[in-house]
Amino acid sequence: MLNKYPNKLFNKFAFIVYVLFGVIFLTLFVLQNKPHTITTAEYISQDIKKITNDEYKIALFSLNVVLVGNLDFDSNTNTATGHYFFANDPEKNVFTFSQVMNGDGQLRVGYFISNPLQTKRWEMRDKNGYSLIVKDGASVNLVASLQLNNPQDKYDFDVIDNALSGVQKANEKNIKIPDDFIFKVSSINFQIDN
Amino acid sequence: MTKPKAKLDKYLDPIFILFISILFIFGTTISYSNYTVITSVIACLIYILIKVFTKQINKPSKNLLIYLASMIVLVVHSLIVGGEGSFVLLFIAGGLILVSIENLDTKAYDSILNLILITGGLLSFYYVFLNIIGVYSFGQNNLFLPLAANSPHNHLGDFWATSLVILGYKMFTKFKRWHLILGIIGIFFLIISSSRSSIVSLIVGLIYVYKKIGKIRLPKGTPYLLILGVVVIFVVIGSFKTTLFSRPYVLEGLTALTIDPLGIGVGNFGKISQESLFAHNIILEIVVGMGAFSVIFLYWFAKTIFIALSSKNILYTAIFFTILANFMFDTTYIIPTMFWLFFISAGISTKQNA
Repeated sequence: MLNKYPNKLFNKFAFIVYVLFGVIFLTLFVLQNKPHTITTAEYISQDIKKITNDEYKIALFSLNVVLVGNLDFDSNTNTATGHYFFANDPEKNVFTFSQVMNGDGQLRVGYFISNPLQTKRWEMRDKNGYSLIVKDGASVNLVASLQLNNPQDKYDFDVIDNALSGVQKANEKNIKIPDDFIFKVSSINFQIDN
Repeated sequence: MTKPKAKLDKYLDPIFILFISILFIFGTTISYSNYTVITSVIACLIYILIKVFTKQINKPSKNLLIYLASMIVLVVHSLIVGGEGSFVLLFIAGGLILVSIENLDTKAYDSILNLILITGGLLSFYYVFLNIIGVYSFGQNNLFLPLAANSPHNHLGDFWATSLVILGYKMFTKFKRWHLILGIIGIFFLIISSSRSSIVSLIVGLIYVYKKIGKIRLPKGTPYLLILGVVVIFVVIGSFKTTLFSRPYVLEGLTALTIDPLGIGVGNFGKISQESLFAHNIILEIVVGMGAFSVIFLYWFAKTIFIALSSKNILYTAIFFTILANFMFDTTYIIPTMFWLFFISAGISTKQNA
C-alpha cells in the first residue's frame, strides 16, 4: 500500500489497518444512515411544525412524501407563502415528480430541482425539461415532496398518536389534511435526505 | 540491535502517512469533520513536535511562511468578524499539513499516490454497496453519494479526476495494463457522477501532464481526440442540467464585497447568497469572507501557482492543478479529504528538490 516504504511488513500492516478502518467507517455510516420505513402519518407529525417555521417555508422538497400546498410566489424576495398539507405521492416511485398547476390553471407534471446547497431556489421542470415559469404573484398549486434538513432527526414515534398530533397541529394552523390522503399509504420507504 | 531513534526515524513518516490515510476515509464526508479535522490538526502537531525535538525540522520555506501568516490573519479576522469555526479549522489543518509535507521524506510521496488510488477504489465500493442496500443519497457534502435523492450528481467523479490524472501520468510514462483497467473504472465513475467540475479538473490535469512530459508517443491527434471525448461527456452531462443561473455566486459575492469590503467572515457565504451556502469557488469564498484582508491569501495562491509551474515534480503539480481547478467550480473544498489533498499536493509541488 505504501509502495514498499519503509518495508514490506509495514506495508502489509498498513493495508490491513486501512481496510479495517474502511470497514469501520462504512459500518458507522450505514448504521447512522440506514434506510428507514415510516408511515406518512409519522412523517406528517414530525414535520408539520417544521414546515410552518420560516426556515422551512421555502425549503425545497424532494422525495418520498409529497407536500400539497397552495403557494404564492414572490420572485422579488424569492419566497413562497401559503398553506401546505401532505399527501402520498400520486406517482409512487417517481418521488420527485409533482403535479403542478400554474396560474393559468394548466396542469403540469413537474419536479423541484432539489439541491440542498441551493435551498432558496424554486425551479420546476417537467419530465422533458420544461421549465415552469412562476410569475410574480402567481398562485401555484403544487404537489411536491418534502426534504428534511436535519439528518439527525429520528422517526420512532407511535404511528397513531403522531398522526393525530399531526392533524391537530395542522388544524391549529388552518391546514386541511384530507384523511384519505394521510392514510392511503401505509408505509413509505424513507431515506434521510438533506 | 536497532536504536530507538533509528527506529523512530524509519517509521515516523510511514506511521504519519498511515494515520493520515485513515483520516482520508473518515474525511470523505463532512458529517465527521468535527472529529477528523481536529484529529488531523493534532496528528500534524505531534508529527511536527517530534521533528522539532529530534532536531529534524527543516527551515520553513518563504512560501510556507506566507501561508502561515495568512492563516494567522484568517484566524484573527474570524475571531473579530465571526467566521465559521469549521472553515477556520480547515485552513489551520491546511497550514499544518504544509509544514508536515515540507518535513516529510520524499520517499513517502509515492505512498501518497497509492493512497489516493486505493481511496478512489474504496469510495467506489462504498457507492456501489450503499446503492445495493438502499442508501442512495446523503444530505451532507461527501465524496461518494449524491446530495439529493434522484440526483445523479455526486463528488465521486471529483475524487476520481485526481486518480485519473495519476493513472494518465503513469500510462504516459510507464504503461501497465492495470493502469488502463483502473482508468476505465475511473472514467465510468466519473461519468455516473455527472460532475462537470470533475471533467474540467481532469482536462486541466491531463493537459498539464501531456504538455510537461512532452515525449509521449501517441498517434497524431490522439490527445485532441481524448480532450474532445471529455468535452463531449461534459456537454452530454450538461444537457441534463440547468445551466441558466446555475453559477450566480460570483455576482452575489462581488456584490457582497462592495457592501462589506472588510469581509463577512469565512464560511458565511450563505448569509449573503440567495442561492447557496457556499461560493462554489475557493478564491471567492476567501475573498468574500476576508474582504481586503484576503490579499495575503491571494498572494500565497498566486505564488504557489507560480512556484508549482516551475516544479520538477510533474505529477504532484498536475494533481495540485487538478484539485485547484475543481475548487474553482465546486464545493468540494469543504470536504476534508479533498482539502487535505489540495494542501498535500501544494506542499509537494512547491517543495524544493521534491
